Amino acid sequence: MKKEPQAMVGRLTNTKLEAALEDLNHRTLAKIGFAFGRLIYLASTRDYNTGRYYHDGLAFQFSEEIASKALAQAHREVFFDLALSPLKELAQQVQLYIQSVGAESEDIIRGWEKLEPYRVAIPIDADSVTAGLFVANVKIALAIVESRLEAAR
Amino acid sequence: MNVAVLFIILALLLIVLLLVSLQRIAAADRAAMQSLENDEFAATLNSEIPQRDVTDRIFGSEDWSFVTRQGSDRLTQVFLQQRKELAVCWVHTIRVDVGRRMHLHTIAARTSSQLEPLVELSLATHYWAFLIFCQLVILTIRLRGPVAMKGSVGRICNLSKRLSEITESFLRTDPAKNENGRHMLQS
Repeated sequence: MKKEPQAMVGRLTNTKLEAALEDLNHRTLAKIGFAFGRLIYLASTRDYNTGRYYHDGLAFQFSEEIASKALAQAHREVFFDLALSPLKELAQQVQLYIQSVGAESEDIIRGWEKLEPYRVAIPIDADSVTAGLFVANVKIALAIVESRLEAAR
Repeated sequence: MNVAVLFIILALLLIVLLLVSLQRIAAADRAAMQSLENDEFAATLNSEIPQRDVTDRIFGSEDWSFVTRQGSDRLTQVFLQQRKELAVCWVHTIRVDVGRRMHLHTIAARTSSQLEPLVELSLATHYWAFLIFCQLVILTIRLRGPVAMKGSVGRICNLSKRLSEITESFLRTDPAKNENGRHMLQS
């Protein structure tokens, strides 16, 4: 008897979550033209201490919890798409991101090679092998972008 | 006379040591069996080997072809260095996963009243073959990189799958294992 209201609440939450995801995709993420930019944006909505995601607009429209879940799910999806994409595509994405930052590309590459800030873009529940693949591919992608810049000089 | 007394004391000491270590093993087994009742049990049986597409990406040749087309020795070196580490990590992950299952199986087998020696022998043989093969694959990865190793990787996956099937079927059918574990397996 108690299970029915719980199931209804679950269905309602799922519907809200789907609506929040759609809203996030159409209003916010669609404006970021490339996947690597979307990944960095989504990772930046996460509180590094608690692992919870925050987005004022989404929280206002739905709830803080739904907003956090939608952001976490979108983060996972973008991450796994990028981590499993061919190196050629990832290198292209990294290059687009570096060009979009608005600083000297060489400085960004040097900073990324030393500090490895892209590690914070890994979702908390990513398995170690996929996370390792992502980190390894970004390092190779950085070397590719660097060699392209050298060739262009 | 003195030598005899010395031998008796030594024998008594050895017996005491044996009893203490047996007690420790029994306590460890009890603790391990208790851990079967909590989430660790489910986590061990539900833990998955890396997904197929991750494996294909690591051991496939698409990315390697792309890197070699760039015509840069440094890039090739960076690629091989990164992918070798990753491929070895992949083998370790599978080995740890199978090791956990074997550990669970060993604990369950110790308390089982329906042990089948032939199944146990087959399991031990498969496990040793698996460990040796993993070492060979790691050695090959270190020597020549992970590219075009899908055959060997497929063999590791098949061996780990076979081992998992044997250990899981044992845990499902052995009445000695606790009800909790069975319930978790069914759910």
